[in-house]
Amino acid sequence: MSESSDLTDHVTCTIKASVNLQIGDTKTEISQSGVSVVDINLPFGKTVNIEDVTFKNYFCIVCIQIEDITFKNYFCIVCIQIEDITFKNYFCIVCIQIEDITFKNYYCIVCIQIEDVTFKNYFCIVCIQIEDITFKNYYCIVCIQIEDITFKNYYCAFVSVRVLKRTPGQEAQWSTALRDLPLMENPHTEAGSQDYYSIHRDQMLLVPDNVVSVRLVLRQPSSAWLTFNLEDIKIHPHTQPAPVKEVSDWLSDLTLVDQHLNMEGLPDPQAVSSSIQQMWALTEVMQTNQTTASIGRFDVDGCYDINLLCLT
Amino acid sequence: MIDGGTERELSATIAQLVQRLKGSHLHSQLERRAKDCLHQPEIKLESLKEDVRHFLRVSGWEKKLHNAVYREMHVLLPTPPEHRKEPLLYMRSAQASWERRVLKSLSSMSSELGVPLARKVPSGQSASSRPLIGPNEYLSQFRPVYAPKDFLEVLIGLRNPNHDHSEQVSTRSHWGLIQLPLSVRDVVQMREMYSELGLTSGQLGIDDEANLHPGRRRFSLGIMVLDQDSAAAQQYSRQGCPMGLRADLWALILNATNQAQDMMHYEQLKAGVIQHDMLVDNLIYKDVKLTASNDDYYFVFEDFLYQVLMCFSRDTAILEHFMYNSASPPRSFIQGGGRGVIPFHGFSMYVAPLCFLYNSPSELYSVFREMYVRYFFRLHSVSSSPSGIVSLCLQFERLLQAHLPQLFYHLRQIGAQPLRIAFRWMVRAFSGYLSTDQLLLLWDRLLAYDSLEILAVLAAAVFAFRSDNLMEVTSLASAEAVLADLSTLKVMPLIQIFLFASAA
Repeated sequence: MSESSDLTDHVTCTIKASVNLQIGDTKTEISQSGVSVVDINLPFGKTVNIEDVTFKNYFCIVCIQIEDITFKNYFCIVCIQIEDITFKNYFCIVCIQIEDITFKNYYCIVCIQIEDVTFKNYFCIVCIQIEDITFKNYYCIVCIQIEDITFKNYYCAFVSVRVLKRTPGQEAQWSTALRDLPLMENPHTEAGSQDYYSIHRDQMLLVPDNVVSVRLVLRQPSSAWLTFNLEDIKIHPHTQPAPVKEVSDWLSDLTLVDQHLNMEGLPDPQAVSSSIQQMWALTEVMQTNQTTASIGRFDVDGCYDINLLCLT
Repeated sequence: MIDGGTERELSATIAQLVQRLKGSHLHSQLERRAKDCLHQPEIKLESLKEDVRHFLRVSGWEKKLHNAVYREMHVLLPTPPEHRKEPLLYMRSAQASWERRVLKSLSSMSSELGVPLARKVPSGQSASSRPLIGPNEYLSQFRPVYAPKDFLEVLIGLRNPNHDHSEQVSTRSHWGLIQLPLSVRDVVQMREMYSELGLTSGQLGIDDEANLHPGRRRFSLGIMVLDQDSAAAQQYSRQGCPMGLRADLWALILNATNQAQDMMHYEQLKAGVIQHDMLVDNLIYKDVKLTASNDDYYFVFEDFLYQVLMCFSRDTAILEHFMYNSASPPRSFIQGGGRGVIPFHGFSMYVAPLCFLYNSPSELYSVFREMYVRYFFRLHSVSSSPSGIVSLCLQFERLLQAHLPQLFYHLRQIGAQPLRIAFRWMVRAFSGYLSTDQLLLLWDRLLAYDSLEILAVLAAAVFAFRSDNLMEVTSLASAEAVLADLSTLKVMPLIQIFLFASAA
């Protein structure tokens, strides 16, 4: 790159040639690596307080090291701080180290904290999307107990759930409720890609009570899909189960009355009914086991004669 | 099928199963038997529940319940309704537009020829005066609504709108006609799934002619299995069914009963055939005449085929399977009295092989109906199911590309895409292409593994077997000629070699 131009006000500094991130072992084209670093050296011996940095863009996304920024727009890659990372593949991961940022939009690369990682595969994580669901009443922020989260998948491979809990007296804190739940068995194929899912509170690592905000981190490592997200996201609050009442009041009164019958002098009805049943069973057995042998004394030619009976 | 799942999912599935079985005939029979058994002296009042349960178990009713639950589990999918038919939106829309085309074709045929879709036979005409088989000139006006190759064109045109096609040729590029990212099993996974077909286990279809001892043992084992339940029969059939036991084993696996109520149902359907005329009947006649009657093996069963297929087209029980079939019965068709399954050219070949097994038409009918609602419907509807025809085509192409890349490439270069030849085999489940005994051995495995994937494997195995000849052809017509006659092929050795003996 050339020397700086001739406008007054600016500090003369040396601008080094841009260094592309190395992909693989051979030198790569600038377009393939996706990221290049331009070092600007201020003149020796001088410290400068920078007012602004002006430049003419030529198809590059500006890389600036910034902290504490709120995003509002559609596509922007904001802070990159890259140290010692070698990419070996085609699409590189934008490495961002960010703290304390609130996002409000739908597509943005948000939080990845990567240190000293070498990627070796062909398709790496291309995009991650995060959706924030904040429960906001008009007058006050409502804390809820979550029963479950239901949604319809659209080509998202993994989902992680983070919740912002606000316990009374303490600051609100983000914690992970579920890490990398697989939605698609194989991120490259269709199975599970448009299915309905439900994440119940029992599946979460912590109890989702006093939740102010829920963050869903969606991952789709496969580059086979043009887009991915979740649809129809619904969060159902947890309600206390109603006290178990098997029988309505008036029915239970009846059974109570049953038990309070005056039992004095009378045998236990259960014992009576079971002995009756035994006797009946006995008669059934007798019926089935009827023999042709005559019983004995009192029948004459197979029948009873009344007169004979009287005599005995 | 249920797989693993948490306890909550399990209890939800159980609740669904109970719901489905509650209204069934088996439920009322069980209730009646339970009531009757109260007269038995062994049933004590204190232990009523256990005694009744024990009685039902001992008298064989528990086994019937097992079979019914097993059958329900095969057709049950625990997902919401629209989704249960087909989870992918673009497949649903493709199926819907295909159905519209078919129905339009049917309606235009109906109006062209002046034959209504369905009508009640006027009471003046008696059953005998109306000829059951129309004269030839009358029949010749009817053409089949569609042929398998029309359906293939629809499948080739399927695209996922969210799929990124922009990549250049890479290791994942696919040379075949089906360009969809469906998950299909490769040879390694198929080997695991079909482990009983391995080289070291005896198979019927390969080891039949071996010395008598294993054959006889298998036969007596089969007789014991017939006393067990559907799951045991399915497991047994994985290595083939002996010819003499096949009919009963298949009926047991499918839980297709032939009791009084089934025979009555069949008689009712037959009465319906006499009372109502349907356009579809003519299509069925035509189809049977064109396919089964011309076949050396099946022409004797012409009458059976007419009976069964005409009853099939009037059976309302079929409608239930549309809950998990991506297809939908066309509404106007239903109002006109039809039952929603429009036969295509070659449909009668699904029934023809079964005629060898079952003598009584009502039993033949109930086995065929059960096989249709479990397996055959997937062969002519657009869905993403692993047993669906789309997945089978993709699996066939992937298997061929992975194991015979040179052959695939050669055929592609000469304009003879392998799927164009193999498609008609798979759509008919090889019926009419293989000799009957081989076909029945193949269908043994189809029932035993509860999956149609074996059709894709066999198709690839046939190509592998004839690969030397195919490498020398120079046009689609000559490739078709090489693969025209499959009647001499032995199915099980081909499958075994392809899955277990080829380098992978």
